Amino acid sequence: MKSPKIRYTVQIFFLVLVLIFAVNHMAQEKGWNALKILPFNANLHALCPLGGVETLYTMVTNDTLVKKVHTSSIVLMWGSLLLAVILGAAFCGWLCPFGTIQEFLGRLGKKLFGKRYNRFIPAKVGHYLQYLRFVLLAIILWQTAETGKLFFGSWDPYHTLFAIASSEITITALIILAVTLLASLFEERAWCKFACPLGAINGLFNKVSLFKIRRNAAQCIDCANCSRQCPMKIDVAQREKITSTICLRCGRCLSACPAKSDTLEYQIGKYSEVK
Amino acid sequence: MKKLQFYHIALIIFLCFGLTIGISQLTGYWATGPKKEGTTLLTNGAGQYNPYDLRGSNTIDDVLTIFNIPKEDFYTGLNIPSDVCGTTFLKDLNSAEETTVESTITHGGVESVREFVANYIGYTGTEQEAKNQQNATNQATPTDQSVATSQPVTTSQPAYEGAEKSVNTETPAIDSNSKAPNSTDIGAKKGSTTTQQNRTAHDKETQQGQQTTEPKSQTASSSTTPTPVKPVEPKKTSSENTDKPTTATAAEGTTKTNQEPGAEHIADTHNGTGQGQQGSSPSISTSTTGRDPHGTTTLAEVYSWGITQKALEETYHIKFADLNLTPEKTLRDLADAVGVNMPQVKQVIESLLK
Repeated sequence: MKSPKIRYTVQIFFLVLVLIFAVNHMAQEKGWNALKILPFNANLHALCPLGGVETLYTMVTNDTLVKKVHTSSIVLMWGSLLLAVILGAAFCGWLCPFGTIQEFLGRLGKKLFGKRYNRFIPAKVGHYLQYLRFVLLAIILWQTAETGKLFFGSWDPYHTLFAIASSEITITALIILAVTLLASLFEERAWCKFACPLGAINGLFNKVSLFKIRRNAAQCIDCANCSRQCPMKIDVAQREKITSTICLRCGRCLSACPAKSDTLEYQIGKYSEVK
Repeated sequence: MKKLQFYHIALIIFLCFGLTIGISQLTGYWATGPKKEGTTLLTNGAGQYNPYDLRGSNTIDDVLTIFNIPKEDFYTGLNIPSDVCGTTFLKDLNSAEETTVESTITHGGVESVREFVANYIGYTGTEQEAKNQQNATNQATPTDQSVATSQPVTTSQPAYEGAEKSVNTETPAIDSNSKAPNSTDIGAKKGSTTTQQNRTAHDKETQQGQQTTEPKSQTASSSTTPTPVKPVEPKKTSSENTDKPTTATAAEGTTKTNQEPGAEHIADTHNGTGQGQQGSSPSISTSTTGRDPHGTTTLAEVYSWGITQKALEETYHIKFADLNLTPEKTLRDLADAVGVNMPQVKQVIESLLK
């Protein structure tokens, strides 16, 4: 079995990193010198790869960036895309601080609701709701291109959460954040599943990434542990390779697999058929 | 068939981001904030400043002075409590739902202010046009900029909001009442210049490079970087603006003379804007090579140009000693003491220099 501790460590590392930037930026704005940890300042928009995606249109057409977006966002976008080409949506499952927060809340939800946790929305409904991410992505990209402003910025829950003390936060954004966090108590990674535009992009790469999660049907003991553990309710036990756009590549299915190695792996290439 | 362990995944993640960030930093591409300091408020062809270029880092005072909006109208129109001080950043105004302006304002803070100002002044450009103009000027090379004298210079930097820089504050405060003796003059921006472009444009206009005042860069206040000064004042003039017919510089191609006064006026008035200008005062003016009176030009420097104290006293019918106008005092101090605005002082100085 693969221990999930490495993933937790990576998640916490990036969560703390973003928190440091957020606190530093807030300290800069408010003049709280004691909290200025970093010698430079970076707002949260500069640390989100989605900003790079949002500004692509204006960059290509006008050679300008959308307001509040900086070149760091573009760099992070490329980093995220490079990662997606290699590993699929691993950014979501291993790196995204907002996803990490939702997972933490999910543990609380699990304690509160037990087996009912992550089962409130029927699988079929969830299956269609996940396409809402693409609709939102399209709207965001369109409006950003139209207005030249960070359309999503005014209601992005990631930004709202980490810049909550900032004067830029609107009531709408706070409501969206509250609903998202509350939903995380009932449904694991609700935002990632149904609304995240960056997740929508990363998820597309699950279909073409170099490494995919593959199941060796010949060796599989059909315990369905992997399906039960999947936060996105993908039926891993019934598939030979996981290319669903909703897969976070978190590896929980891999950690849950009790069978010997080479049964469920994150790998490149197919399993040979064994008779 | 190659499989990954979890530590491989972690390594790949760090490599992907480490490489991209590292390469971008080495090439100088990486930036988490505004690269250039200051953006200009563009004017449209009619000489109006572009309200859609207001930023969250602008203050209320900036808006009032640049667009010549009476404080009462502004406060009432946006339902801002009267005890909110003029140095409040626009981004701190969260009152979309409170605004009484009948427009399509749907956002709070800066958006509301932009819409309100656009409606109030009857801004003739659309936001899209303003954006296009911004983009066009951003793309222009320095040489292009120098030719387009009527174009307000802008940073070539993509429009972004540098809140921490609060750049725009510096935009010309057309506020003759401003009393910020130490505030830097418009010209004065150490280094601010948003751009070379500004200087080049300006130089071309002046042909002598003397009017550096106009480097349309506004001295940024200490906290942030200077912003380029806007060229001419908006058409809409208040009693304050008047020294010269400013308007449509664009139309006229903005001669130096046209611009100067306006610019000077702007420069001059600009001072007040909230951003704690003072710190930055090492005004440029004093560093100019020619005889180029600025608000921060000291009387000692004026005397070094051959203008005597007596001449100034006779002109203004005052006694410097009575008003404590020592040589260390600036032309701004003189203007304040005498009760005139800076362009008038400048005119006097220039006429005495001839």
